[in-house]
Amino acid sequence: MNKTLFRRRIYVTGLIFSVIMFFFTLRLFDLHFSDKIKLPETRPLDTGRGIITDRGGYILAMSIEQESLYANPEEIDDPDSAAVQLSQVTGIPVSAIKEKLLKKTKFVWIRRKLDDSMAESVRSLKLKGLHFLREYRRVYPYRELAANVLGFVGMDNKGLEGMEYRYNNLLSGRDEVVTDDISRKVYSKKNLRLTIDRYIQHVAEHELDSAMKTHGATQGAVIIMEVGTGRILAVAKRPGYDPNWYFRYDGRRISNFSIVDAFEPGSTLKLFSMASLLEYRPDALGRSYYCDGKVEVNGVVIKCLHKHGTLDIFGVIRESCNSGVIQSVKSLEKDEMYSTLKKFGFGEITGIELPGETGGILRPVSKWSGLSKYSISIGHEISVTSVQMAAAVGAIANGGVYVYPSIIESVERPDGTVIKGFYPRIKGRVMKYEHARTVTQMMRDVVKSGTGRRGESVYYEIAGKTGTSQKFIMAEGAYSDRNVSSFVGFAPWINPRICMVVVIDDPEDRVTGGASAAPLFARITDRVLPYMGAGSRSGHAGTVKSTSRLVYRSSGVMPDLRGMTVGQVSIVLRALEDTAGVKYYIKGSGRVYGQRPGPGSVVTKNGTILVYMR
Amino acid sequence: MIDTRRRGEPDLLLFVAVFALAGIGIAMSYSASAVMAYRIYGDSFFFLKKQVLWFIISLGALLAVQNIDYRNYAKYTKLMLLLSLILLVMVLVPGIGTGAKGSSRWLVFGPMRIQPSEFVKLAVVIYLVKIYSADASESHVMRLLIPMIVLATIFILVMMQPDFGTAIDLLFVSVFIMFVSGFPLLYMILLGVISVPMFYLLIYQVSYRWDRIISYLDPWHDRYGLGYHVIQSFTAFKKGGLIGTGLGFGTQKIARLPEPHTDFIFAVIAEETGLAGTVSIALLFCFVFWRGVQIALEAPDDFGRLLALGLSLLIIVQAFINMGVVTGSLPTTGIPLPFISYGGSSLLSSMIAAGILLNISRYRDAAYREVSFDEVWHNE
Repeated sequence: MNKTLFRRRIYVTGLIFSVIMFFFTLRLFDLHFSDKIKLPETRPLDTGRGIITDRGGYILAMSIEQESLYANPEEIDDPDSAAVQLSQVTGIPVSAIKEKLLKKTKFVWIRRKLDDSMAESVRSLKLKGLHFLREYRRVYPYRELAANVLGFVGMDNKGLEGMEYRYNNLLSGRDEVVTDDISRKVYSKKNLRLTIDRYIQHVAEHELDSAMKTHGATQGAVIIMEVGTGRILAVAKRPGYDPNWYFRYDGRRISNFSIVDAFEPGSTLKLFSMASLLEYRPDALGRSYYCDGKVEVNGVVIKCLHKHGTLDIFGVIRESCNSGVIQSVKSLEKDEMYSTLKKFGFGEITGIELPGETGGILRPVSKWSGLSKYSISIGHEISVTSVQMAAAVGAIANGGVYVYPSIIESVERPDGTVIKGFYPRIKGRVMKYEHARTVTQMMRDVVKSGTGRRGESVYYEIAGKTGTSQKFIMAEGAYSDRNVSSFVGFAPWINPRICMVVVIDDPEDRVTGGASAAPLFARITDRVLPYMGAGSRSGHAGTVKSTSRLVYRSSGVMPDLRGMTVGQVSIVLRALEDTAGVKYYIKGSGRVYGQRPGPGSVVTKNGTILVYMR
Repeated sequence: MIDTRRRGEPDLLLFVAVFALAGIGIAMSYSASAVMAYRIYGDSFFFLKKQVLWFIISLGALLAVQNIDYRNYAKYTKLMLLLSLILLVMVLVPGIGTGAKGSSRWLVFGPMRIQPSEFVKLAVVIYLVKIYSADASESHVMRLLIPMIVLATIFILVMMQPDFGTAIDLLFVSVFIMFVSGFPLLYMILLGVISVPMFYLLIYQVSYRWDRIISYLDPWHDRYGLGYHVIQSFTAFKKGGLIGTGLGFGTQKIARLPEPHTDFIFAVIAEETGLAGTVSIALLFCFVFWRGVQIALEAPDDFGRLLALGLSLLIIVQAFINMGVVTGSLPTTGIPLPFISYGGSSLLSSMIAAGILLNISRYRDAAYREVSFDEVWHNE
């Protein structure tokens, strides 16, 4: 080896690497700082949607991870045999799979969101070019329960209806990006707790189902609101649908009648005519009216159901006498009537947190004809939604204070921290307290001895008003003989807990609200109020005494433990142990679903209490 | 006459640099692999434990090798070559060799997995160094032909694994060794011209290699396919900025970078330590090379000179190929970053190379020390 040549060439080599290092350093500067390198925009990670629960925390909608099968056709050597094998496992036609496998692409969905067992059998085929991707599937464990409220999501987990649609950003966390504990940017999903109670919702739907069957109605809806807070406890609608398979149903089943459909209320609106009358013409209370079966206003004859004879104002409402109402409101100005209805929220949306709400129709006074005041006073020429009606009746039940209805109990983070809790949205006083009591008395009379007699319950004293209105068929421009039967009211009539609107649309037997909706109202009340711990009237077997979740120290009465956690239950029971010397046993874990003795029943001294949890 | 001169201490600077690189390697391969290790094995320390074990073994090997007189290797070149060939053939035998993603690169010995090509590189360098450091008694043609046949055989065997990165690495190192040994430039140019059609075949014959070159030229052409990894690597650099996101705080290593703890560890370093880190690492490799050149210049004989240079080249060429790939300056090919990437074989062979370099450094004139007659007499 020539030593000088070696040295020279070593220096050349060193020079070569110096040059490489120089350019490499430039490249490093370039990569670390230059804008010339296009950074792909980083999208935060999707961790699924938040859950939707009822007010007790029971899950109504949740996301589960499932595997989606896709193929990379470039990696598949034998599309024919692959298609046949896949078809056997998944049940998709061979031709459909083959068409996908022959596409000139690197990615094609075969089937999304497979069952675990199917995914396993696909995996066991050990076919090349098939891959799985984890996706989230929305599951509604209670199927039809509250479906019209919940709505559903599409294949890409975008809310398409109901709460899922309205609160899509909140549930999917698209409104906020946070850094998780392994420093990834993720969408911060939120959980939604509704004011809906799964038991009350179930009762409403179940009873509605049987009433629909009895009367052969095309549509029916029930909405139950907690008096005083405006919490919507149940929104039932039939025919319903199963959101797990939403694509099998048409739009009519999916829409939420109580919120999006306005109807002519008929006689139920007479309550608000009375409210207006009491407010502006209190002297009407002392008058009496004579009904001969019809009344003529502005040359138009309006019929009454019967010849009611002479009635006072209570009798007018009790018998739902059109003639009496029309005579009574004659002295009332249009503006006065209009302002009362406006105060009770008619003609405008209630702002309930559900999509697609309509405000119904209440035309301004300037557009009223000479007849309008009278038509409206008996519930025609006006259209309302169930939720409007529930809130308005709720104001009467609440002693004249209107509370906007609300369906969101809280918005929570996955760890349970409450971001936004429920707070009643109170509009304010819309009628004097004593007037509200007077109207309540009228409503009580309706059920006790009037048109709503069939809405009377053995256990609870119900106040309500029936309504039957002919359906106006737009296409024909005339009223048909089909009707909408409804019943609005609240219970118990003193210290009301719930107010409810029941609507039976187009019953086959053409019965009035008194015959179809009122009994349904009573049946639901009988099942819901004991559950809520509302005291029943005495004089029958199994009297329920009024209880409250918070008042558990009151002597001798079993509190309602359902929905409580172990911690909550043990606080309550330890107090009972001290005061009544009872022994208690807790079985299972989770939340209380059953208790013995039941809520409101008497606790015997030194007795035993059983609490079942799951 | 009794020789009273004894070999001296090894080059301390080189040792420190190598130790630093290996230390950085342990830290970074842990940071890069922790999330993946936790996902796969439920133990975020899984790769760290193995790498620390390999580091201890490699350090032992380095200390042992720097004590073995490098002139011994010249005697065993043929044996080492033969062993290399056997190992390379064994890797290709189905059932014996294992690999990942359609390759076959490893031999399994009990709990250990050995990647023979890492050690074959050493054998080839020693072989070439022996040939080209010897005085030219034969014609240039013969001195070109026989090594070329040997080299081509090994090259083809490595390519069959396939391990394009190592093959290219070997090729560059061989060319540099020939060049430095004083081989006439004319012959080398001739050789280059002859090999052009061979490369043409090698690249066009295998479709993915051509695709990789396309994706190298424009990674955004197929941003979710072939360009994906390069773009993820660029993103890591961009996120790193000047001083990086901090050790352990990188996010690109999580399911975005391919092989974040081995081939793409430089991207993890880029993200977590920024420009400061990447330039420092590159400079450390240059420093190691500079020490190697220094040792080569001061080595007592031709074999030592060329061997020192060959081993230094082995380290720096591999380092720049790796860093070139990660920075998108070269087409994608899988090759570890010496000393730093996770992997026992790579670390061990790099440490052995460093050990030989350290041994050569002990024989430079300046390092020799005089010993007393008594000491010599006593030892003999």
